[in-house]
Amino acid sequence: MCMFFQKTEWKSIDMVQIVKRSRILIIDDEPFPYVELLKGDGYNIDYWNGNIERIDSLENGYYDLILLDFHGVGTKISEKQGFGILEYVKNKNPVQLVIAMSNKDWGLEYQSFIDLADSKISKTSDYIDFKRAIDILLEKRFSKEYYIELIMSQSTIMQKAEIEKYFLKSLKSKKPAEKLLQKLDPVTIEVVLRITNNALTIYNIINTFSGGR
Amino acid sequence: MESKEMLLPLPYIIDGIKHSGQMIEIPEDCITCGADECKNASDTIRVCRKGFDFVKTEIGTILFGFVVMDGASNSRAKQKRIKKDRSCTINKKHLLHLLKTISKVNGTFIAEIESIAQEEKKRVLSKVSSMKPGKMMTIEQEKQQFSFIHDYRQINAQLIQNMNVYLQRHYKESDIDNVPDEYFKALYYGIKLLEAKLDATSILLNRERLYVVQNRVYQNFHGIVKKICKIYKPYSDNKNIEVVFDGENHKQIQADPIALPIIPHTFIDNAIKYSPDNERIVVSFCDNSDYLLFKVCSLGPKIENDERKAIFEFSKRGTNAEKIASGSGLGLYLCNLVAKEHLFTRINFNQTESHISNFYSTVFSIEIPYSRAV
Repeated sequence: MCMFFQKTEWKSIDMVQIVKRSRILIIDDEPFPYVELLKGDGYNIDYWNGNIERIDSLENGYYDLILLDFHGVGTKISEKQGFGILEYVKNKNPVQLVIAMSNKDWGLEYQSFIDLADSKISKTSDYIDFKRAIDILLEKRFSKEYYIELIMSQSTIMQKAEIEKYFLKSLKSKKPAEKLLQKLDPVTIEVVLRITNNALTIYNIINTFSGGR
Repeated sequence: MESKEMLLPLPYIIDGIKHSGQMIEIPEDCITCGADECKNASDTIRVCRKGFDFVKTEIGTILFGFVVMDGASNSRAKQKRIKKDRSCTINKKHLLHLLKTISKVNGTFIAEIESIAQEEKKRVLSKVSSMKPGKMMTIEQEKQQFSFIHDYRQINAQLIQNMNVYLQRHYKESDIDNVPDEYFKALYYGIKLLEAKLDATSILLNRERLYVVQNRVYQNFHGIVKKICKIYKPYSDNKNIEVVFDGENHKQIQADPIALPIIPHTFIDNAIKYSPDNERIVVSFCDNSDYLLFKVCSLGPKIENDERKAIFEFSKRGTNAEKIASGSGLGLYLCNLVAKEHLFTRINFNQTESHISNFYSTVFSIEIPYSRAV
């Protein structure tokens, strides 16, 4: 078929491939025995022992998912420890998916930080529950809807269908569609640029894997 | 000047400024509403032209942006509203309870909560620490005092995680119930019981958590209770007590995942603890349109008439219960706290004579609303 008429399509890939293709970071100052189990199940895991080793990789979307503990984490760079790290990451890259790992005992003063996380899980959860929580967010990371919903949350005037149209155009042209950016106020443009760039990265990964567009 | 804020479940107006509630946010229609009928509220519940109820509380705060499902007025606008969006609905019983609670405080809800929490923590502290009587600590200092709870949780997390690793590596299993080794299972459920006890402590120390709407998630209550029964199985087996399930529960309950299990934990724990050997405990569920009726029936010691209220108080136990088993007197207190402050309902119980002298057929029950205000 002529390439010109070919429709831009966001292909779906199965969970096995998602697991294979994604990078997960775990930040915890305590031993985290599930690391070995996750690795054994095919997940690509980096584990930082409470210290923030490379701050840039928390900002630039290098990791598809971050599992972040709160107490005793990132003490060298944030007084608020993991709560401060979560706030920083979400500020810099709102697309970054984060699971907040906790011992369920945060005070009300930290509630607003905890709410920034995409999911919460107790450190006393069984392995199967951890795995499920990870899989849900990885699936989200590789789905078109996640990015469209994120853009929708930034725009009050555009309808979903319109956003989807411009989103697919952005994927086709490999850069955020001008018309999409024109409809946004200057404050949200930067966020939407990040969202579409993240989406493009994932789109390219999916297409590379599934043999081109 | 900064506006005062309160911890209220419904949207409210204070100093002329509208605020979202912890459970119901300001509806879109109220944000854009130009009429603002609610700003002229009185102590009578009225309906605005947009179909929302509003009322002025005794302390002057106005509650608005909600719909009383079983209220007196049944205007067309209100019917339309209910049809359009049930998330802003509340029962009259809950509203009246809320109005009563607000009338009790002169200041803000948070002040009330903190002062109660302060009182209780003071009492706990005086029992378990070397704190000198009369020396008042701030909530933060008290939390600091109990920071060892965090360490216990951390240790418990390590235990659970390592047990899971063992489970996967040696038994190639994700489900503990498929493991043939009964000792391993008992160890696993023992750790889970410890977790439940630490969760209860968390609620005691961070009572404000009960009011945080963001922590509410939908949960399979039936599944929770089933797991709890497994945790207590070594104890029921030890007394040769049979625990049977009755009825169905398919609808999920929206609640804090730490707070909600406290209720079935306490009901079942107490039932096993106080039941004579070789008896039966019936755990029953009944789905209704707006709520789940959950009951635990067992044989237990008589709760004297003058103790009927006291057993829900902090650290109080029934005199006959004390003769049978040891306990802290915190279980039913916490249950009641979660029921009233988190689920907007209450714990009921009743007793009738049984076939064993000195033991009464005891039923503890609760009607749990499926979701927030409804």
